[in-house]
Amino acid sequence: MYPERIIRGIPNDTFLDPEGPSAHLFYFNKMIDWKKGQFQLNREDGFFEESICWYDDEESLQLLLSQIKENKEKKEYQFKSGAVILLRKQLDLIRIQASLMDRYKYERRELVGNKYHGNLLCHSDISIPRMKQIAASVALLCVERIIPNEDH
Amino acid sequence: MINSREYYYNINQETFGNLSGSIPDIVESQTTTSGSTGYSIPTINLSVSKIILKLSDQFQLLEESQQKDLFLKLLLSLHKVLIQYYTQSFELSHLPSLHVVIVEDGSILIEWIFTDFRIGFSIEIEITESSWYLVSNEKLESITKSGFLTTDKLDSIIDEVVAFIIENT
Repeated sequence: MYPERIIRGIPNDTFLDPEGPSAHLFYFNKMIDWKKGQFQLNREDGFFEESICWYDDEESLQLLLSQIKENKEKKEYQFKSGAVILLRKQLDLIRIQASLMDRYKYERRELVGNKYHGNLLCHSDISIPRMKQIAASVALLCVERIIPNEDH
Repeated sequence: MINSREYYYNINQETFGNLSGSIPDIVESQTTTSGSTGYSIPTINLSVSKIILKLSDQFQLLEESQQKDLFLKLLLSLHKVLIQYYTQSFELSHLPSLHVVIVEDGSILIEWIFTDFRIGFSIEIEITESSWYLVSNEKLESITKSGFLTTDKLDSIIDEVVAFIIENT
């Protein structure tokens, strides 16, 4: 059901450091807004989502890299700085070691025009500091490689 | 409100590589005090000092806030500890870049990213929610440490993380 690799788009260079992606590439931003009272959780299971693509084949990577920002007069790629490829087994290792199996996970969720779409999921009972620390662990341990968006 | 901006400050080989010979004197009598907060960072003849000073000078120009205050205190504390190690002849030229970015949620993220571990400080607009973390890979025993970042614990946290860096790089 799940391939070995996950694709996460990189919107711009602020998410990149010479040593690797910055942790905030893996933040759950809606969770932060929710804690501030600026977002209403719309999933009954209590999870927050961050979009990913499942790396089923090369088409999935090209689909993500070619995504265009909506409502822009001028064509602008959504992920100007490319994409990071994550290893799912490393993500599972983080989940096991940190006892997060039920509170940090992933799913497939196809969208119209994107059969590869999915989400990383983080439960609402995880604190913001913990969420940010998990994001740092993902950035440190799960990254296989970074792929630039050569068309940008 | 701090505008979204990105700062990269390199504490790198080029910075330290220019320094050779005897350890320069720390001229503590020469300090830079700017802005109404009155933060003073000793001006010493080390490039890393100048980089942290530049960062602190730029942030001191921003609107006063508890967030800015905590960020500057963190810089000051970090600077102090690095200089202590430098004056004890520890090799610091290999240290990678310090990554500073203002995140979409308004927090200031400071990350120090190494091959086998990374250290981070997240200074929130609501500073009581500020936090820090240290995570490492299996080679360094898969450490996951995190906690709230408060003014009273700042120095001890900085001491701990810099000691970890010195020991493991």
